[in-house]
Amino acid sequence: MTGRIAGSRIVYARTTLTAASDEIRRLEYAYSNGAVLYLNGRPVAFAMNPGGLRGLGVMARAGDAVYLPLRRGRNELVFAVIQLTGGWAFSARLEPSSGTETLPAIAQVLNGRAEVVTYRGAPAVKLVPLPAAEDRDEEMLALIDGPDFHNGTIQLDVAGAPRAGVPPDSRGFIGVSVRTGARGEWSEVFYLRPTNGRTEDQLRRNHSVQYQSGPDYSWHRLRDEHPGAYESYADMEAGAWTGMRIEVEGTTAKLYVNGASQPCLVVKDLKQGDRAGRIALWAHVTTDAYFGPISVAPR
Amino acid sequence: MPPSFRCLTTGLAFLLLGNTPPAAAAPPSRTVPLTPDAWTATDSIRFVSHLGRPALYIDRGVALAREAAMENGVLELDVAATEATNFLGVAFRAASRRFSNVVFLRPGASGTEEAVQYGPAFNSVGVAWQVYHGEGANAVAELPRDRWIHVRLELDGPIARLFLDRAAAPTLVVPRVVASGGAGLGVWAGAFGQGAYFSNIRYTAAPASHAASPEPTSPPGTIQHWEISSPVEAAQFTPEKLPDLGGLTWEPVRVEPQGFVLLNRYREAPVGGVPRDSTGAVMVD
Repeated sequence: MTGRIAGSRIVYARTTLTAASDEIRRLEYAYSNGAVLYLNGRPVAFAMNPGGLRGLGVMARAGDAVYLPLRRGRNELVFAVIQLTGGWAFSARLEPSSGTETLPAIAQVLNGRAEVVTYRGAPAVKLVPLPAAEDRDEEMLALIDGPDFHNGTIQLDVAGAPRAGVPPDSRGFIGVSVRTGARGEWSEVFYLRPTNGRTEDQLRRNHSVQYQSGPDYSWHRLRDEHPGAYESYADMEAGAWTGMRIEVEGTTAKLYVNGASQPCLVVKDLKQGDRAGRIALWAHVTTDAYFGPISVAPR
Repeated sequence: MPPSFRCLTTGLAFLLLGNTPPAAAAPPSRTVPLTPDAWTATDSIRFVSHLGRPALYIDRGVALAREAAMENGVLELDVAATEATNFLGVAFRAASRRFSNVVFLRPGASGTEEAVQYGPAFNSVGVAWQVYHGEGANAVAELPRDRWIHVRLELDGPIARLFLDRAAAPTLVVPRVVASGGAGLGVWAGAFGQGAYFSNIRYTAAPASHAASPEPTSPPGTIQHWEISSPVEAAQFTPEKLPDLGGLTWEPVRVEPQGFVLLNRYREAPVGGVPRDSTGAVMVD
């Protein structure tokens, strides 16, 4: 049984759920005439109207529920809403979270400004390039408030896609500088090239995640001098909330994407050496750049 | 229109036409002619004599009165079901033939809670009856076939009141008509055929009374932000696996005050019934 119903039509609906930590939360939902629910890309429920439409088949406003195993940060919830006849609708309500989290407070932005917006259903910091920088090959760096970071784990969700009208080789470059000079004069940046995540061009796929260190170790210098050593592949989708976790210890940093148990990139010679610095959000000026709450666990 | 301006235009008409002015306070009642030029229908429409009266018949779908426009006021008509009629009703606040509100009767459910049904019919002639049901959308009524039933629909801002057969009390009160962005009026006979007769159709526009009708609220925790995709047909649907979502076209949608997303507002639903096997069960492959 495939669950396909002859003559039906389907619309997908998506939203973002935010969790302060890995947690299970109850989602009540209603639908007409049928629904399949997916959490972070995996099916979690298949539902048709009570009585399989043999009776009234009306949309009860509460009743069906599913326990969602949310991961810390951003989660994508998708409904496939199956329509046969008459009303075509759905709703969902999520029980409150046990914890709370807040967006990073931005102290200063180089080449841009920060706005607080809603993106795909979740609060986000958006970095917008300054007019003087937006048509140039510049990077935005948003220093966040807080103590210097030395060793430990940084987790955040980012969503990056090329802005409309930017050159075709823009990739939605977005990431984070785990240690940064107080005025942004140096940085240790791990970033994504989201449009490379789903391309069929294998060379571009190999360039999905990147390390670079300002001001002297740009991505192209590292690629020239050590091909393939500072970049790698991880699955990601342009514009979608993407989880980044960076574990930093001394001169070593490991990047994990979208909750992976193993790192997609290991850098054992951070170019600024074993030193503490500010944490900063990072994006190229060609990127529509969104950042969710950030959590920092120093060690 | 402010009252003083209404008097001025009435007086002007009197001067120009030399007629006796109508009573100042009574808004004009208009009758919709039962002639082909006065109607625009989604399906076949016939003008016939039925149960001793001139009538129009539609087999299915919607027929709108071309010249009629009434956002608030009273619509009155007589409706008659045959032995075969599935559904019959009125379309109102129509922006087009396929974007209106509908109140309809189910003669086959006479005497039950399903006898009367209200709901929006967006991007379709079909009504979103599964979504709008229960109090404020359904009501009990006796619905005999083969005789004229008088229908009076009062539209008063967010509120619609349906009176049947000259009853003093409304059979159905809809507390909050879904905004459909139009003022068209017409008759309705469902999406599936076996139509009905309509006669004696007239309406009287009137200002809304601004009667209080509290905005519904959605339950706590309701997810308010959604984006929806372009439609996917059943043959391309893979329930067990999400497609590449980036390959679909997305648009943000708003949540209705009650907390649900009414997809009919944005997407055309498929036409037709539910495929069933010989036991009546829905066929799922």
